[in-house]
Amino acid sequence: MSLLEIKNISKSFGSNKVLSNISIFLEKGEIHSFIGENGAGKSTLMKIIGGIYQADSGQFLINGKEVHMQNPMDAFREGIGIVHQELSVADNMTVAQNVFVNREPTNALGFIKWKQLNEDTVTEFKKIGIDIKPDTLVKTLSVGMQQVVEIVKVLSRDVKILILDEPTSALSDKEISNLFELLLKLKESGTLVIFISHKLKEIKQISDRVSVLRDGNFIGTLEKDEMEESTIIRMMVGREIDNLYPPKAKSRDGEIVLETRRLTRNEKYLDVSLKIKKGEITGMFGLVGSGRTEFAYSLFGADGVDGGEILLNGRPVRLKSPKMAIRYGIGYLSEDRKRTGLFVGMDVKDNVVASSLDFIMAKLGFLDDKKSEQVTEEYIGQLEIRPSNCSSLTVRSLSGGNQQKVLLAKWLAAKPEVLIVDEPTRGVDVGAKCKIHSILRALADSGIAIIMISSELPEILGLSDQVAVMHEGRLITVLENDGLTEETVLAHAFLKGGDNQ
Amino acid sequence: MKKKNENILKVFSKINLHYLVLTFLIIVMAISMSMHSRYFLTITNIEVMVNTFIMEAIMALGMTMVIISGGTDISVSGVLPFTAIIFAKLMLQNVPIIVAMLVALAASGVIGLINNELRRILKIHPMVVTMAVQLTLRGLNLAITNGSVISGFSAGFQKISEFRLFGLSVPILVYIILAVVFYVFSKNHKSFLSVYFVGGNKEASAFSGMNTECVLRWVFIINALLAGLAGILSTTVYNSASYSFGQNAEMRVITAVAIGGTSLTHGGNGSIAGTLLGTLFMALIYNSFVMSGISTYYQDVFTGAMLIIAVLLSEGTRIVKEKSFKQALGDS
Amino acid sequence: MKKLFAILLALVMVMPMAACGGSGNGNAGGTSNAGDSIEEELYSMIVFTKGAEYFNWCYAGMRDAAVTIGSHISVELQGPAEWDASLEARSVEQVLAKKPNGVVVSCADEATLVPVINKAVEGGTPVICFDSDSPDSDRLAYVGTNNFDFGAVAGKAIVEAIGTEGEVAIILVPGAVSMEERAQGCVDYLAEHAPNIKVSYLNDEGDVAKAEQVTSALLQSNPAIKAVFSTHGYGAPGAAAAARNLNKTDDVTIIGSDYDSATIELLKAGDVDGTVIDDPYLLGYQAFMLVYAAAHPTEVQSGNPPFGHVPAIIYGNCSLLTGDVLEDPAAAAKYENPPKI
Repeated sequence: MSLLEIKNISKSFGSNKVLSNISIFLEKGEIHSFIGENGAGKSTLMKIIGGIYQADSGQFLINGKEVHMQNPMDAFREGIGIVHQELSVADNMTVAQNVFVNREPTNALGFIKWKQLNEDTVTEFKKIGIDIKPDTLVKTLSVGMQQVVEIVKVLSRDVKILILDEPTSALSDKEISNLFELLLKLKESGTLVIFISHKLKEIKQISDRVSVLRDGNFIGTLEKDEMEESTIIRMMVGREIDNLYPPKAKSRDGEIVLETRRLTRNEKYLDVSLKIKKGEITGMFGLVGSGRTEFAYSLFGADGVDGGEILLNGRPVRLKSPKMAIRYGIGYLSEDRKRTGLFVGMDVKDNVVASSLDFIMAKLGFLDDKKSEQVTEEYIGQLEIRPSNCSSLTVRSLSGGNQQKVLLAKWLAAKPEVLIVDEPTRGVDVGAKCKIHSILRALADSGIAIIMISSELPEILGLSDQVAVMHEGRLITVLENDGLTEETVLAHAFLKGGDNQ
Repeated sequence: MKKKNENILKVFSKINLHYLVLTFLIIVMAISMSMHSRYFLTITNIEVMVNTFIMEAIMALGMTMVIISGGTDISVSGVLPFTAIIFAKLMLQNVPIIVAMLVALAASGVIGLINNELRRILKIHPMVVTMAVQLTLRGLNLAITNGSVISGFSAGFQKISEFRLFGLSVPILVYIILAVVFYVFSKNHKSFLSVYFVGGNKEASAFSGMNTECVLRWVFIINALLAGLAGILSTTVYNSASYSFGQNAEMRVITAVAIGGTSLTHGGNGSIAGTLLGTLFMALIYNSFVMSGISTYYQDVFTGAMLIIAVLLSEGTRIVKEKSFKQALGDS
Repeated sequence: MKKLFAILLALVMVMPMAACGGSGNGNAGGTSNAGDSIEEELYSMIVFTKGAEYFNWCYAGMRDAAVTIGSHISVELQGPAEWDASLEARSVEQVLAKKPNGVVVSCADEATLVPVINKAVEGGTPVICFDSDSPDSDRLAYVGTNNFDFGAVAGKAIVEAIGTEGEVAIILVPGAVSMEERAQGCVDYLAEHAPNIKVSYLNDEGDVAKAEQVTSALLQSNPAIKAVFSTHGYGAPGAAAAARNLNKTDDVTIIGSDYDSATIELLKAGDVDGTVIDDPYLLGYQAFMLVYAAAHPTEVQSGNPPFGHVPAIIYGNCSLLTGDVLEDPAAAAKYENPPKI
């Protein structure tokens, strides 16, 4: 008898059918992944299992017994815990307070026993091999660590069925391997782990089985030995995708548009000398904390420079603000799109024109409404942003992948000479990812220089013409992407070898 | 099926539920007042109704901008009398009226600049900063005038309050011009649009290349200028300048803006159009109370209730709008 | 959403109905008796801090006076709750839009209401000022207390209490003409009868708590102060509290103004030694009679046509009220029950 049986589950929102007759068997002690494009229904299915939504028809059976989950508390009682993609940590509280929120150990009078709270927190974190100071304020942690706190919060509740929705999108490799170790341990102790991810490699690595959803329908489940990337993709997309990545640059003799010479920012990065050519994509790879984003901030005028110079088309420049950088033709697509990239409470159209107010749209200071509408529609079409009539929609109501496309559209509209993109496909599904990659390559082909900061090696190798590897603030090496392998890049990132040092 | 969803989207992005309800309330109030008192719909009363709230109406234009930018400005009720007093004192020293006006306005602009610099340098929330400035100004006003009202201006000056163009007095004319300018700029001009962006997400606006500090500086300066203008106009209307002018005006102004739908808690949304409606609504209330003879004690109770309802309405319509979008799109 | 709509609708509908039963109008309804063809009349009193007990007494006087004329007279009390001269001017304007038969005003300051008073008179509405005057306006008459005499009563009480030597503090709000005149009256009396007494001034902004603070500070820094005279109603309670806190109740003579409930209690307790009172009820009564007369010209030649004849100034009397007077319950009853408006 299966631990969790999903039987004929259907769900519609209004007239939109999101799940059609899904039936799957999930067993205890397995790691079962779900994959599908954006809109396929996997998040909705998980939310129904977690009690956040109710299905229109169908049933859930746990160990053969029918269960009804009207709310997340019911789900918890049945031993189901979800770690969401969107973080729900209270960043003004400590790690310990977050992990044990509402379940703090208290004495008879209701006062919290802080010592025990902190000790318990340390114990929980040790289970996934992480050392943490439990009284750290969450807002001082990186996004990756915040996600870990979220995960530990759920794990500490003794769940039978653990659902993880895109858990690795902001984690470093070490954190991911720790997580996987933990998942394996959980599997051994009989927990059912449901894992939603876009990352095919990870799914192949960790899952016992993978189920594919497409357009609200259940396509099929593959066993471990059946998990071929091409098979999975075909099931997801309904067609073959031959090349995941567009072809590399045709010619590599563009002029050097941006150069840094021994650029230094105290306590962030040191002596970074890099040459960026027109028409090329330079990938920047490194572990979390390697200083890539800080370097990008300096190139964008969002942070100062303590030493060295930046040369734009051969002339040294001092970039005092993002406004200046944009005027010089440098754009930066932020890593944290919600915080520094998008205006989530405003329309798509407003977001698209936000960086172009100065020179592209305005006449006498008055915005050409028609033109901004036109430009927005253009990018909606080019980037395949859905829904296609979203120009007046609030960005908040779009999915993560589409939000990222809107952010990209903003920078495309600013027509930069050099575009820095920081984790451009984080939290984006395969279809959108592909689209973004081909746009980036098309941009490069049209003469723009692209600096791509990414923690996904496949993406780095798939897209870059040259790869810059950074480690703890220093530029270790710049490698030509000519038959480059992941191992080589990683080795440099770990400072372990390589002949170019 | 898809078409129905598209229609829902279209309808919701065109009409604004908040304005609809507000307009409805205004009409209902106007009708019931005119049924109650035969003096309500007279030209005199309409003029009175407008005059009662005209200073606040002028200040509400600037306050809308401040609130959209994510802040608030309590100091306006101190700037108004301050500017009036400076203007009056200069005129009594036989400074030509225009010069006195410009100097007084400049002084109010300086206060606005001070508001911003304090906020920026001390990194304190604008509400706290502007409250401190307001208290300081109130004390200053009292000290400068020694408590007495300033009057006794030239006969030429008194003519200003009598001036009428198409039957409209100077403050009303000034308001009409300002309202039109603000409306047009708020819809489409880069300067005002930046205020929306800065209020919507300050960090993202910096990363999008806007000069956030510059925007905020001008927002506070302009708001103070408007309060100063209201002070100067008050002097022309009442032919006097007193430290007592403008007491609690900041509350009425902020309430008018909030009733108009501009969110006090989330920067980046709101509109001049809404403020115009909210101002009209407040003017109606203040007039209706006197007309109907209800004790003015209840006036504040009613205004407070309306403020709460306005906030609920504005947040409610936002949630409804987003929910129906989500449903129309289908969550995945 | 629908629920919200319904609630809003109900609220708005309720408002005019509340107005019909509103307590602002002192008269019940407006229906005349059958066969009675007397036209309805409306008279408005506008004050600069609505809710002050003093003005409630004035309004009570006006209301009672109106009753003696007839049931076709309605009266109302209007005015802002805050002391803002421009707001008071606007209140007058709003009242004028209702076309009242007459208006009586106590002015927040002597200049700001001039334009609106003049407009009223020009438009044919008689205006009488009471308590606080606006002498430069076209108002037809002023009913008030001679504030100089008022202050002199206090001066006399002080000299009787402390003799002709020592220091005295006078509490006032600068800019309030009536207070300044009262202070001056006191000073003049002292100058004439006890020239060796030194006088200093305290500003308490018309607020009880502030009065306590400033008096406290003064008493502590200057032990030679033997008496305090507050030219407005809220100062004496504050000063009395200060004296009590510093244990100087017996050393300092406190004379207040007007007889609001707090002062009455303190008089009976002995913390305040006396209060100068005028008769706000009578002021309001007189003001109404004057404005009624002005609204109804007779064939007697008037001093201010086209309005009825009224004298330019009427002064009410003032006297000193002390604690022993209040020991008689009949007398106390007069002062202890302020009208509820």
